[in-house]
Amino acid sequence: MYQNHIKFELTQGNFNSNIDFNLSSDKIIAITGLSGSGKSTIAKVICGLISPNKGLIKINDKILYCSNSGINIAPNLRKIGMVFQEQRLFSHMTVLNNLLYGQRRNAKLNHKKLEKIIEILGIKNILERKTYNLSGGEAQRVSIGRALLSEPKILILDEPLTGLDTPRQNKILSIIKDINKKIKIPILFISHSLDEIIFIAEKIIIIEKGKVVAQGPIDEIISYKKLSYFNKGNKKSSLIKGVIIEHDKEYLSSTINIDGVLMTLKRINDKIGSNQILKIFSKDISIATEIPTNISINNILETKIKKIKIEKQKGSVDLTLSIGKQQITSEVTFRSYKKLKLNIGLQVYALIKAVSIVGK
Amino acid sequence: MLSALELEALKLSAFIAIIAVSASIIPGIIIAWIISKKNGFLASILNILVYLPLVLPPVVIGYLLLLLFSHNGVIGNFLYENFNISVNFSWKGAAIAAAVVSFPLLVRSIKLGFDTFDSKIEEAAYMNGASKIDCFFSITLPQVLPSIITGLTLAFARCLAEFGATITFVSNIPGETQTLPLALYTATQIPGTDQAALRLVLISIALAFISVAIAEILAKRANKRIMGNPN
Repeated sequence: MYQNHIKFELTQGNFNSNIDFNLSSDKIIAITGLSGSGKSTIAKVICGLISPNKGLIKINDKILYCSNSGINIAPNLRKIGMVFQEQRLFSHMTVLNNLLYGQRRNAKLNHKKLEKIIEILGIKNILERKTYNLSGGEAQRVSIGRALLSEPKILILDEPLTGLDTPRQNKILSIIKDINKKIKIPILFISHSLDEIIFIAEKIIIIEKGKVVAQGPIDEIISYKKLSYFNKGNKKSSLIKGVIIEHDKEYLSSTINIDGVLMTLKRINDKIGSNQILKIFSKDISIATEIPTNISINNILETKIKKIKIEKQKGSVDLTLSIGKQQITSEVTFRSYKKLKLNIGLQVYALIKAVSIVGK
Repeated sequence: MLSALELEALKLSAFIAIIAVSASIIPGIIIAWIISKKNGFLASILNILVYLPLVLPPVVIGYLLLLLFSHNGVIGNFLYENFNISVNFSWKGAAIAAAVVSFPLLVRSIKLGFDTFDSKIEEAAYMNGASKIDCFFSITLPQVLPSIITGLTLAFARCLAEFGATITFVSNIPGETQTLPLALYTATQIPGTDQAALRLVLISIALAFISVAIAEILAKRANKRIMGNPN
């Protein structure tokens, strides 16, 4: 297996990056973090568009940059397929000539590969169009195709779904998964969206203030405490993992075991025994000090308050609750918090209104 | 129909303008690129030097050219001694004068193209394996083509209109340096040639109109190729 090693230090103004991580081949790896955490800088350094102060960049066992030995390979010779956030297509060329631009400069024309990529991306009927006529989704698919055809050793996508509507985002995500499977190329997927990375990535690297603060497979990383803040619109949520143990045909539901705690969900189309990642928005968890009766909510879990964080400005309180070895966060009003006399260590019931399956 | 003298002046005007503009294209693009992309002291000086002919009185330019290109001048002496070329009182001198006065318009327009071109697209070209030179010819130049065409048009029109520097530098010799404006000037100096003068005025207007119209069509086409809309 080829090794990819990214390690560098870089000062830009008063922002310092100090990055160090390894990637093994053939996987989709997500880099995530809040806006301004230095995610895109990593992509630019790998591409050679920014030179770091020092470090070592190794892709596919080939050293692209090494401050110790003075190696700094020019961007055009690095063989990195880069898809930028905003579309950077060549507007004076047709879609087909955009696709062939990288191909012509890196390899002999391979009709089979060209056709395969056009097929995966579903862009056969727009090949003769000029790029200024394309929709956002089409333009991004062409960008991906152009990058792939330049025979890259790694594909980097920097927030490729920005500005697309949800159906188009989902389409591009599926295409990226498809590419990884059919073309066998490691993919570095940079995104601030938790939903995107959980759907797509096998491994996650979390960046904060220019540093790697956590990395690992998704099910190891989901308990990382700050992950819940990476959501769109700052809607706080918790991620927990569990295993499907039962499908109920009569009630059209599935039961999931989370460290011994059982939750019933709407029917999940997956095998019994399969791992699932669940997302629960903090506002969808209510708290009761006694078991309520005659209530539509199915999932009423006995739990303990582990941590209390009062948000005075918002008039709300975040309660960290334990479920087995995992944790979920509930957001209640300050008023309810006072009324119920909540304390750390108090045994309460978490009333969970909605749960979504976000990954495996 | 046109008289032999009118035809001669018309041909000479067009010929000198075409030579002057053609010779300016490559240096024009290079200098426009330098003053658009570089911020150093030398680039700033170059920027000012390029624009000087736009604000100097044409007679000053004509006189300076006379000093530089006469057989005693720095450039004139070099050309005469080494290549036996003399530009004084010849169409070559007229073309040099036209090129110098029209150069700022050419450079200004192309510089504007480089200024507004989104260089992030160049990064995409590098990542697709294009070297800097490859990228310049395959991406940058085609993207700024509309600005180049506009610059060429303006410069061409300015060449047709050139008078002051030409008459000072290479005088007013029929068939050699007497372009349309100079022929018109001659006509206005001789009593009883009002009609001839008016004919030259009309020819000048027609020539200017046609050249600007052709250039507009070309610029719109180039724009449409790049952005999908002609403006």
